[in-house]
Amino acid sequence: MTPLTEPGLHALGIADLGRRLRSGDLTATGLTEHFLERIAAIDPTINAFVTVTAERARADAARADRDLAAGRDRGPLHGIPYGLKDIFETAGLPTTCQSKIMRDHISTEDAFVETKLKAAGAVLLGKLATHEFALGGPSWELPFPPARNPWNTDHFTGASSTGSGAAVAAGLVCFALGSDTSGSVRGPACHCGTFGLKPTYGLVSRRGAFPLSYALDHIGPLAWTAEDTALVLEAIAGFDPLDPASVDRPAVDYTSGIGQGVAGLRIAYPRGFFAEGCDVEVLAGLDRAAALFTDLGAGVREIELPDFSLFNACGRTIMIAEGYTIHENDLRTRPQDYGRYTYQRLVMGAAITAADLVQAHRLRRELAIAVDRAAFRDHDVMLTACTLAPPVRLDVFPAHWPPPKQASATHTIPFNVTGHPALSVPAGFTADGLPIGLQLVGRAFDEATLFRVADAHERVQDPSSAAESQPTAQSSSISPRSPGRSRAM
Amino acid sequence: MPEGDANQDAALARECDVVLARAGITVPEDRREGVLAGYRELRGIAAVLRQARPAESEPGTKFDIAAVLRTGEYHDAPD
Repeated sequence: MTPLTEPGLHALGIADLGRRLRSGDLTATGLTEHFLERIAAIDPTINAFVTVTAERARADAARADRDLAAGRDRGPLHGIPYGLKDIFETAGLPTTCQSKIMRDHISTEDAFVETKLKAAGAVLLGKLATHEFALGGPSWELPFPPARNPWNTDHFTGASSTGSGAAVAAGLVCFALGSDTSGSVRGPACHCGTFGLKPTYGLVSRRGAFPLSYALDHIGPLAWTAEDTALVLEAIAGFDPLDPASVDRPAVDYTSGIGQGVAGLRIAYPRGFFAEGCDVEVLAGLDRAAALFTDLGAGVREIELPDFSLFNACGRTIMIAEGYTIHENDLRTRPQDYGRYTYQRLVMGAAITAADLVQAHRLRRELAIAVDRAAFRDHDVMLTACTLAPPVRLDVFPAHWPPPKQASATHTIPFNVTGHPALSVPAGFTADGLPIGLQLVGRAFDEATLFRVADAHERVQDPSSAAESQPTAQSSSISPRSPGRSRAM
Repeated sequence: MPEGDANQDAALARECDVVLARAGITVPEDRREGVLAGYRELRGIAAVLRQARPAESEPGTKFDIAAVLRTGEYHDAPD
């Protein structure tokens, strides 16, 4: 039997852990204790967790062990530890949205995705840090401190599923769920060096996740490998008649393209869409990826998209108008209970006119069609930027909104607007040891091809060069997961 | 700051106060700076949105239904 503290367990992928659990070489209880020990040792430095649910985790793990012993195998996530952004309802546990307003809220029901993960036999380790109500920004005036980037704790994690990105990167959970309204899964994934998926609008139910924008909210996984991310999506996707946006579609094997390579695929590369204002190292990473895909046998061709400012104006108008509607009463009656950033951003919804909102919805349709035509008429996947800059230092965020442009320079909102699936993929490190990434965008409901392309990219990343670029002090004190593939080849 | 810019800023601040007051919002003084910055930004966004749109860009159906009917295949929207 594996000792509880076996080093390196946290660096294994979900499929490998599953094999060991099923062979009897490892127990869910042992695996859970390993992660709880890591959380106790590391989390005080990165603040990824708002609540650690150790008691619940041990009960989940014991049940997973009993089930496996009795021959009840609940699938790839059976016995696998995870965390949830603290906006997902979890019956009997606090769900605070990292806000004074929700500080005493105890959930009475589970979010749809939590129901699915329970049914899949996964083990909940706790609730993870978020920007307040999945908006705001890094703030020290909230009930819990902001999460810190495991690769360098002076730096930002990306918004707003901050704890989800930090916890996966630091090896405190095998996977996490976040929400993505303008990039809040993909941003933290990019800045923390993990994979992060915003699925197609309608694929994953939003029921039980505190809403920010009905039209733009998406729920998605963050994980350490493309395959792990696919396995989690498989567990949480599915029709929910109680989510009005949920789409009833047949189940899909999202791992079908893992290991298949990219030969013969057609990849659109809208370089002009993001190149201006893009950090030199980030741009170089994208160009390297485009060249790599060509070398691997894909056809990469530059395309043009509508100007980013159109996507941004459309998405932000809808997001803030809907967010304001949800929070209107509290914004009027208890403004000081919101963090400064959250208040300053949300209250602007009161100034959006009906004409602005209708124009945004009209533009949304145009943009969704324009992306389909430009990118997916003749291509299978689009390669584009995720964040335009590496993670900034946390101390660049001023007392009042907005922060410097570099802190919020993301190209994620276009695909919340259009609804296409979009995956943040690690693409190495800057000379300063900070993660950079890229974004793959696919046709509606074609997440499987995204995982196929991401997996091909992951297999040829050079872990040694990335490892050398890590700041020694950080890697020794936090020991984030080593970059590159960690599972057996 | 040139006098013209100062007058413009003051007018924008008054406009912001009126718009928010109409919605029943009284901005706490210690949060005013960021709200004004946000209002200035919002005006820029609104200018981008307020361009003429073709008649077929009506918001009833936001997605190109034909394009999402079958996974992994492109279906052109009607011209």
